[in-house]
Amino acid sequence: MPLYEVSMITRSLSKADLLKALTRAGNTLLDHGAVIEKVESLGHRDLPYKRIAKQTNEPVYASNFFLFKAHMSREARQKTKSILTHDLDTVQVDLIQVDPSKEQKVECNLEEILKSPAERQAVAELRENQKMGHFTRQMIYKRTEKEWKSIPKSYPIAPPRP
Amino acid sequence: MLKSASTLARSLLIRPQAFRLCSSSSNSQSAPVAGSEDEPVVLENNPYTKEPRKCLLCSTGIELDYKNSRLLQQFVSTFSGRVYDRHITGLCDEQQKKLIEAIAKSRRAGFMPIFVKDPKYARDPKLFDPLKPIRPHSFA
Repeated sequence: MPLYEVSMITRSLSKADLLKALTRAGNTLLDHGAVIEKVESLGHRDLPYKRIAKQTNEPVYASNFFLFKAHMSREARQKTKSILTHDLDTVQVDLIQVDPSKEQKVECNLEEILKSPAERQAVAELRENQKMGHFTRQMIYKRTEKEWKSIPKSYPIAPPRP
Repeated sequence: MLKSASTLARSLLIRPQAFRLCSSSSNSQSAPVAGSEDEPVVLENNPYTKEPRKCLLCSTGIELDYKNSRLLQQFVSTFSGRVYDRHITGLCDEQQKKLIEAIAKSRRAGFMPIFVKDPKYARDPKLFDPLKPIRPHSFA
């Protein structure tokens, strides 16, 4: 089961309501077979832009950010996402997969980028298998044909017979 | 008589000596030519090569996280709200790819504004100068 980070932004709620909303969210995750590893509060923060709470249509400028770390199946992710986003107490919910296998150390290639295009490997590769238009191909064919024809294949005057 | 004595003294004093240029590595790397220590030492690699330059995130070892929207917004234009391209940010290909992914995630999760840079962070320290890109264009 892949690990997901469930980030939840609630609408502005009292402490008791917040507790209710959080337990409800946690229970929906658990009901769909999720294993919750950790629950974090990211604090009461300003939202990046004004949101509108559902049903009450109240503007939300700042609210509580929460983060659940949960292992669940892909089907469970889809279902829980639709349930949590339609919850009246949430403003924004997103489930983002954390893939530890993707975190490989790749060599920094800034040195390669800073080289001039003539010295760059990527440009050389582009040149090697570049696409050629029909007419360019024809022109190259004709030029080589001409060069080939200009090479004398026989003597203009036949050499004397032995 | 005097002349011959001086030449004798010179021959005694100035003797061909084996100067060692590279004291540490000459023992292991000198070619095994019998009785010729005056031969130039050939090193395997140039000791004066500079270390390859690294991009800002690779050299500092900072991981990009979608929850850290303040760091991500330092790579976003104050004027247009768009992510700067790699010839301006000066990041390597891998880090630029990660940056774009992280910004997309952050916007989707509601940590970061979508069309603009948050005016709260407009006066954050500049990591690069958009008017002085490392190349004229990202494809150049």
